[in-house]
Amino acid sequence: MDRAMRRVAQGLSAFALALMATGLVLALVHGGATAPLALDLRERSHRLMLFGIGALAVLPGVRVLVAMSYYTAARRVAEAVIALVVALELLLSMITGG
Amino acid sequence: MAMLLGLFLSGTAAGALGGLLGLGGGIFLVPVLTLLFDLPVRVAVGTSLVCVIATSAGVAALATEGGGADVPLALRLEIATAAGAVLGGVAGAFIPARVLSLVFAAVVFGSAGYTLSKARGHGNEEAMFRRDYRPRRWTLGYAVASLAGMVSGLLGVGGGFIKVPTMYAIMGVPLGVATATSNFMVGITAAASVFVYLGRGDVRPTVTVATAAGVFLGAALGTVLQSRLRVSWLRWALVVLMVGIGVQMLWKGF
Repeated sequence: MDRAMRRVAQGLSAFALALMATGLVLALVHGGATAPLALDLRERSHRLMLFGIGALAVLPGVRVLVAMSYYTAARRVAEAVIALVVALELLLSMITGG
Repeated sequence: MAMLLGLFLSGTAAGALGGLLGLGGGIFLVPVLTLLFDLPVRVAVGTSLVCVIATSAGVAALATEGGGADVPLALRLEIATAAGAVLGGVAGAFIPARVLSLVFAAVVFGSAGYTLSKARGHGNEEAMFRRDYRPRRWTLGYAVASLAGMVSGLLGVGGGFIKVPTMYAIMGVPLGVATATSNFMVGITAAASVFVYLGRGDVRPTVTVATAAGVFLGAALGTVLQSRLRVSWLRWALVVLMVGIGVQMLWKGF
């Protein structure tokens, strides 16, 4: 499970960082652009950065789901139930917050 | 550009604290973002929450074999923390925040003293990571985790600084495992709140991304440093930090 957790963290972090970095570079570039293009670039850069932030924000939930699937497969019922409770808590906060 | 560089450096410091001591970094980032960068508190908290998740992600991504979090322990304590946060929300109507600050200061000072007294039994040979332990004193661990959650709900701090000593000094978890487990936990706690701030538009993309990029770098530095430092040095850093936070809590309480 440790390895799976690490891979998930590496993959999602790299994806989120790539989106955020691209968005930040676009945001820095748009300062020199002319009006209609600048607005378009600004919109796109903000959207890219927000997608990156969103990808990062779901990572703890994904790690909990990885743990839950591992415990379920290993028939460790108590731990699977605890992971499910934490996952539900996160899901609830996503629904009420978003 | 200078502001972005400043945010990046602040993020690096917060990430390093996270990698080294298992803190989310909110207790450091929120004051820095509000006082140095003049950001509104809500934006500072929104940024800080994303950065706590970034620290947690960075530490998990860079964990060495056998150097990861104790996931079952983290999930169990996380439920107690969440229950405490709910209780804190209810208790907020009845218990003045200053009374809770004083209780929390007492817990922090107690944990610092206990961590120091525990150090007497160990030399410098104490292992940062090992897997041959069994967490003990669950009831006390749950109680302190609930209190950390309660204070989180009432005072807006993450509580990583109390989870590490709880796991290390009270529950007998090795310090390295305790910091990795705390990082996992603070990531979950932050993720539970961050969507509220995202939904309200309190996460400013440029500010957050510049800070989070620094956090990733800092978490990497902290993780590398942690593997090279002695447990006794980290223990002292933790005690100094706890005393500082305890004094801050006393200040709020009086």
